[in-house]
Amino acid sequence: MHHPVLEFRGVSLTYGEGAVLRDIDLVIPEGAFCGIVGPSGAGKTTLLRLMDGSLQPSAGTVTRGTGADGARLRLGVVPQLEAIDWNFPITVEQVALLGTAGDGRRLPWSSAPMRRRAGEVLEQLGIGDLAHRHIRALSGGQQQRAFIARALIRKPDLLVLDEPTSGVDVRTRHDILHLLHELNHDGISIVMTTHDLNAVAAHLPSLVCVNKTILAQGSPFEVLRPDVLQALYGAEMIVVQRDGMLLIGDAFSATVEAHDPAAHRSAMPPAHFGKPTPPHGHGLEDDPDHRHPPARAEGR
Amino acid sequence: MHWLTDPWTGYSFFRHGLVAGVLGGALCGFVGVYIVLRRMSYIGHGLAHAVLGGAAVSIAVGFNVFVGAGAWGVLTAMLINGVSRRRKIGADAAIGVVTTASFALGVVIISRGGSPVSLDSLLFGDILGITLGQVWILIAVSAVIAGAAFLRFRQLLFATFDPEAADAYGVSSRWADTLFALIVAGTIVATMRILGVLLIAATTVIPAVIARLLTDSFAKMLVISTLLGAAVGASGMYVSFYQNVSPGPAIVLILAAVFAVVYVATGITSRRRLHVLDGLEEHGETAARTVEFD
Amino acid sequence: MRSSGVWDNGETGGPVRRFVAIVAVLAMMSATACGSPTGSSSGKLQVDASVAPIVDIVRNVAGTAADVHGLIPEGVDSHTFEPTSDTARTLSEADLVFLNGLDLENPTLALAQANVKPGAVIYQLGPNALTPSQYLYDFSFPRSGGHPNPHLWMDVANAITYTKLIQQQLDKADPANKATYDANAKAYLATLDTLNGAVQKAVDTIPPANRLLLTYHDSFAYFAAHYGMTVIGAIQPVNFAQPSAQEVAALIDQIRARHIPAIFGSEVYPSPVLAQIAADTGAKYEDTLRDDDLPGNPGDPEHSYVGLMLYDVRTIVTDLGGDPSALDAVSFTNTYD
Repeated sequence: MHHPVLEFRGVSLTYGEGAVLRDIDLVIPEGAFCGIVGPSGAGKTTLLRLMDGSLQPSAGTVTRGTGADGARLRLGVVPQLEAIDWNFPITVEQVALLGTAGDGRRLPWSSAPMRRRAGEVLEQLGIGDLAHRHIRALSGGQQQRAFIARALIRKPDLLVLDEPTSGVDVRTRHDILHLLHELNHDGISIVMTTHDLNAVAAHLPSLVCVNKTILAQGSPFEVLRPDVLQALYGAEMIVVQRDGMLLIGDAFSATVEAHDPAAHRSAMPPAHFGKPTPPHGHGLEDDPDHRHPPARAEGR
Repeated sequence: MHWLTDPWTGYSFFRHGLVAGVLGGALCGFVGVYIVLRRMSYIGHGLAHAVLGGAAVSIAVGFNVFVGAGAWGVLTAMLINGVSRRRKIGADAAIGVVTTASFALGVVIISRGGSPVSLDSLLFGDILGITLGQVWILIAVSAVIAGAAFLRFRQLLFATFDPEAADAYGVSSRWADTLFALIVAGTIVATMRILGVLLIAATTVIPAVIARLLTDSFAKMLVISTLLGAAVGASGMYVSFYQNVSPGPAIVLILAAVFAVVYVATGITSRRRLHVLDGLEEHGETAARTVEFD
Repeated sequence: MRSSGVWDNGETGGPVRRFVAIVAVLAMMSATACGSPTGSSSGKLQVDASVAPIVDIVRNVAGTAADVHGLIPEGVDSHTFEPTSDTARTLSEADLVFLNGLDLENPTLALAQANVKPGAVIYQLGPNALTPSQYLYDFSFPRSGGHPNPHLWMDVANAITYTKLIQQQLDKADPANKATYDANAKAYLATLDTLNGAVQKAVDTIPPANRLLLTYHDSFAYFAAHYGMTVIGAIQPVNFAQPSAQEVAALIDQIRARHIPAIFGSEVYPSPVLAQIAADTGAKYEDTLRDDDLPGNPGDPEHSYVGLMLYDVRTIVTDLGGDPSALDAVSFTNTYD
């Protein structure tokens, strides 16, 4: 069955004078793993908030499908972690258990089944042994996973993540993406925003390009093309395919500086983008034996 | 142990004052944890000032002081909450405007005369004049607040820790904020007679801060802060009895002394390892420097 | 993208703000504009006086020959009264201003010095009535603080001195009406004399063991010293310090030991601590005494200095087990009625 998990029809959202999002028509099928890309201020986070219901559209409709067993669609939300107070006295396990705070239970402590479930989720995410650690004692990737655990604890049908890989290193990024792929294979639909085209977007099964409105949807190969990227980012970009992978970079012409290096006064040329640096002294005329190692290459 | 029991058996004012001090201290200690963790430490100070205005207006209009001041306090707390969500004016500035205006209104009304509540009493508290009836009210308010916090514990925790994500997890941040405002305002009004407007700020903040130094667990922080508040409230009365100082300032000074001791002690007896996280750029500028207490 | 909020909702943002601003400005204007007209057009001498008892004494000497205005509203703590623009306006039209002095109404004194017209006289009664060696110090006004207790007029003998000083000043400022002032003063002094004697008689009927005063505000220092009572304490915070539990316990012990029948608060200073002390000792908590606001309403005969003294002394004497009938001999009539 491929009934949609989320459907946007003619959705717009306006704040005051400006339209934040316009005429959004979007279908997220069940089992999708979809990345939302676009420049800053494009409305990616707003789109997510329309999905999880914390914002209402000014026009159009947002329809949520049914979850497993025909019940209401269950969402797990992993927002950007920039506003979190890492010094708050809370452990990893407690963060995970927060995911159940809306269940109406009146007692302050969690039941044994709930704690078992939390343990399972943490294990699944590879941070089971960190359950009683304070959140500030974790690496960035572990912190991200703790908050994913919070979203997963209630067995959501749809997982919505805002920039889950921003600011983490390569290894962590791989771990998180692999994790999300696993979850997707287990049947959870996933929607996430990202600004990283090469490392993230290019590897996702499907993408939605948003800059106030939807400019393109489809697989990375369909969508990550110079013309689409130009419309999306307003910048010239090149796309290279190699070994079945997409590589996206800034177009050469966009990075070349427009003036002539010969016009420079000093012997030490300032940074030049886009052209190889001519050989030059380092301002150390009396260093014929090169005892002073050359500075790392300037420019690109 | 006669020194402990003699004041209690000899004077009803001491009995009332002691119970009021213990309960008031415990209440402020408890609520203070939420206040400090929400980084709203100034709200105790500000709300106490605002409530003065509410009390004065209630008296001028002929309304019951407690109900009127309490409602005013709740409204102010919610107003502050709402305004602090706006980035342009900081919460501290908003609090400054709202609460000092309210306070000034109160002073004007009271100074014009004819008020059955004196300004002195509201500013410095009147713990030595607490009647038995007021003690019962304090007990009732404490029970209600404790009950509310117990039944809504997990929602309050979520809303305190991560208010922006709360709604997505079925925790209505509006209701949580309203509940928080009610609890804080209730505490302020209930303890205003005991501690007075000027001293409430200290008792809502210092026990919680001390507790934070001593533990990394939220639950333990609540317990420590509450017990500490209660203990200091009691000792304030005994110190006032045996050392001839006013009870209100005695309480605050004891708190400050305990804070100083704990602060120094946690610095000396624990091994601190400052550990800068690799890749400080992770999660933006809010990435913490790991401090490990062993 | 602009953030949304209460004020920024599209078209309602601007107009709402403007409305609030206009209301605020109007409120401020009306608050400062409220004021009562003064009777400076009557051609009579304009005399201002600070607290109500003094105002009444001045009225009794001035009669209808001068316009007398009170500066401090009744029921307000004169020590913390903040003068308003009305006060300033009244002062600017005054020819003669009577203040108690001795730091009773410092803000009003400062305002007077800044606002009176050239040639106007500001006269402080307290320092002129007593020499420094006669000043009294006590719980609320300790000698170490340097400020003596200012409540001179609670001793009728001092009120008599005040009357004579007021008479002198009125005569000097308004020689045309000297005869009236002198006649009024003479009559009033006779009344005060009778009052003085009656108060002493009434206090003498209090059993000696009961001649003890515990009050909230220390207004009875001169009264007690003259008529033979002892002030055992005053619990109003001094220099922002509330009483300590030890002090309260000591007072309770004293009251219990001496079986004092009553302790005294006042309407202007409601005191839960005094009420608690009363509960702990079984003494009566009497909270109707007045320091400087007059009983009854303006127009009533007892709304006067004499009325104030009669009420207070009657209450004190009765509560402490004495017989106040000596006071019945004093008549209320004011010279200006």
